[in-house]
Amino acid sequence: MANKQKMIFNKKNIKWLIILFAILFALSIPAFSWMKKTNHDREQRHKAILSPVVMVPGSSATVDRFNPLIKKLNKNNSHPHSVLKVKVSRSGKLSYSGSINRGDNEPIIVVGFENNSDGYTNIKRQAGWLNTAFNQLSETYKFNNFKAFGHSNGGLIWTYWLEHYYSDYSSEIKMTRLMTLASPFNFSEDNINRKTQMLNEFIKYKKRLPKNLRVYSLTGGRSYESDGIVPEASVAAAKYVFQNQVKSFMEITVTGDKAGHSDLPENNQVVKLMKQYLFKAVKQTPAPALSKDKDRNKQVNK
Amino acid sequence: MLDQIVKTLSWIREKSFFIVVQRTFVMLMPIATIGAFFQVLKNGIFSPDSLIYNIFNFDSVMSDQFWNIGNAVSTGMVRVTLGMFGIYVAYFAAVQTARLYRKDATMAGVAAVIVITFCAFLSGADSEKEIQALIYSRVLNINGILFAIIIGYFVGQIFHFFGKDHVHIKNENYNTIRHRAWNTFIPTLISIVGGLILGLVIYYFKIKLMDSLYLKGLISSLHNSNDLKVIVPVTILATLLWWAGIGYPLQSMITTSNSAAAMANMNAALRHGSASVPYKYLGSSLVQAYGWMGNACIALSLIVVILLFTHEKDLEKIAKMNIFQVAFGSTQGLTIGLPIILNPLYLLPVVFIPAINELIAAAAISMKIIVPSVYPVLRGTPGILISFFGSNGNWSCFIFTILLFILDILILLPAIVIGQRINLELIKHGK
Repeated sequence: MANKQKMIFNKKNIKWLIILFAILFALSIPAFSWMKKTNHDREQRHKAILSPVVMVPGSSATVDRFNPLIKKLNKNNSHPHSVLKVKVSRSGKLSYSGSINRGDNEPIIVVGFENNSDGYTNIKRQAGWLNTAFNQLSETYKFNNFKAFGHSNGGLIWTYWLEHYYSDYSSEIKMTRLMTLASPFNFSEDNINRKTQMLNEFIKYKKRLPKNLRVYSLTGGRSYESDGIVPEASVAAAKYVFQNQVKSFMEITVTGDKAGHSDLPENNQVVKLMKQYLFKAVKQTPAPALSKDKDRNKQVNK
Repeated sequence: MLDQIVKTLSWIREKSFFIVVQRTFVMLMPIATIGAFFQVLKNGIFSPDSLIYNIFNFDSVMSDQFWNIGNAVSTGMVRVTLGMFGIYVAYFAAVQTARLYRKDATMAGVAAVIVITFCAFLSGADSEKEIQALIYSRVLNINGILFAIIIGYFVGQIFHFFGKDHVHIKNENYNTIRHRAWNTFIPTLISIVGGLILGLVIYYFKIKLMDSLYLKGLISSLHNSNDLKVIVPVTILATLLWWAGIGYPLQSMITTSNSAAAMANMNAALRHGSASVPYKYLGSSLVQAYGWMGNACIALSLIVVILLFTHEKDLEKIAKMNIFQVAFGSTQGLTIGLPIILNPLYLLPVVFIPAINELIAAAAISMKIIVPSVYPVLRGTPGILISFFGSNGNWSCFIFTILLFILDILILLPAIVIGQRINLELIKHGK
């Protein structure tokens, strides 16, 4: 009996299938527009030739800290770099000044912080603020690679950002070069055997640093031991973080006129080195992936 | 010929191993269905790379607190249901086997649980956190239940050969229980010693069960291959293993690939459109979009067939209960509930449908009817939409996939017809 029935269409159940396909259809409409938008963004990012240099000043400095440096960089340059300055407030609000010129493929973006005090706790906070700004910038300008520059604590903020935030972007946006200028990786400690908490933690997480990054660590020599504020040994401690971890790590000591800690950004040698090593568009192919600005990805993919 | 097939399949179904498999899985259907439901929540709603999460913009809409709770609850439930499914399978497999020969089933079940947890423990013993290694063990996961069912079956057989016959007494007292315990002592001991030896072999040779390099090599060969002579056999092998209860190869095969070839495809598509990609028949995208169709090719089409063409209330109920889970990619309730896994009836459809789909899709790509699916697709994307989204909204891909889906339904129809004939046959024989 059941034998004969089996190919008969079961009309009662067709409502279940209608519900199912209605839900799928209803979902596919927003999914379709989401997909179009995402793939459009991907396309834009892929085709982007923008490769900004993002600069972070040290403690007690504002977004205007690099004005003289930028002036020197743009001097006698037929294609001067346009400058965008982003100031991050304590609550993470961003205020912009300046702009990126259309057609400028290598603009300078300066990210500064309202709270610019010294200390490891604040460096961690500033790295978080830097990330807020970076996230916004990457969404707006859709670049697929960039270069980073940090003076003094700025270099430490970049290092912390690389170890704790960069993985959210790394599949889409590559940091190709990092130049730190007189960054005290061991703070004011001049003996490498006495590592500060910060240096220990930088070393602990160094495996997270990108393998394709080129790092340049610049230091100033006013005396044989320091640039007047930061001990040379503290700058040299960077090698314990970067050496054999990134693609290349180069240490450069600048001496002579304007080699003091605070004068270094206006030092002509430094400007030359920046032109030589930092400002040069790099060809990059991005990898497709979806970046999220929250750390939920990390938790899920354990 | 149909009669011959029905006879052969019924004959296989009456072998003790397959009787045990059927009874065990049918029994565990509720756990698998509930587990699959939470897996949809975990992968589909609380996972940042899922479709629903992204189109409803949960990043900003959902509060962190709610997300934390939801993520913890769904992850935890998946872990204790699907993640430890092997324990339940081993228990019931031993129980059903022992019961088949009228032995004391409960002790057999417990002995099987001891053996499998011991093996799981030794299989991950060199990891740092031993308790965690046990909970996360791939041996216990629903994707590796072949191992669990074999252990349960063998422990049941040990009770068959060494246990005393057992008749269930309604009012057990202290004395009868003590007597019962002594009766099970020898087979329990033999089972545990057997488990001990098996565990030591695993430990000594550092056998990572279900995690071998060989399987990984297999998958990456498919992910990077542009050659149908590699892709189709590997797909057949992976679906065969999935049918046999080892789901890991298939599971990792059908996730979005980040291989260099997939990148190259996507970069080319971003520049000149999907039609001009360098690897037209790339294994990873062929399997994901057309071959396995995100579970739609077997599971969703089977649900359609069951709902429309069978008149068996129980089967329809299972299909209805799992319709939501299957639509979003969690098939365990269905594969265990029917069952599909280790069910001779579904062996041929499971093994050949994905391969047929791939061949037809490859032919259609070469004739430029459809384009390869090269864009990454979010988790929890309904299977029949993967090729559409993966080709950045190509309508001919969409229509082609729907036709392929209907073809899969037509291929599955005879299986259902034969299945009903077998059931009748079994009922006739009073089994």
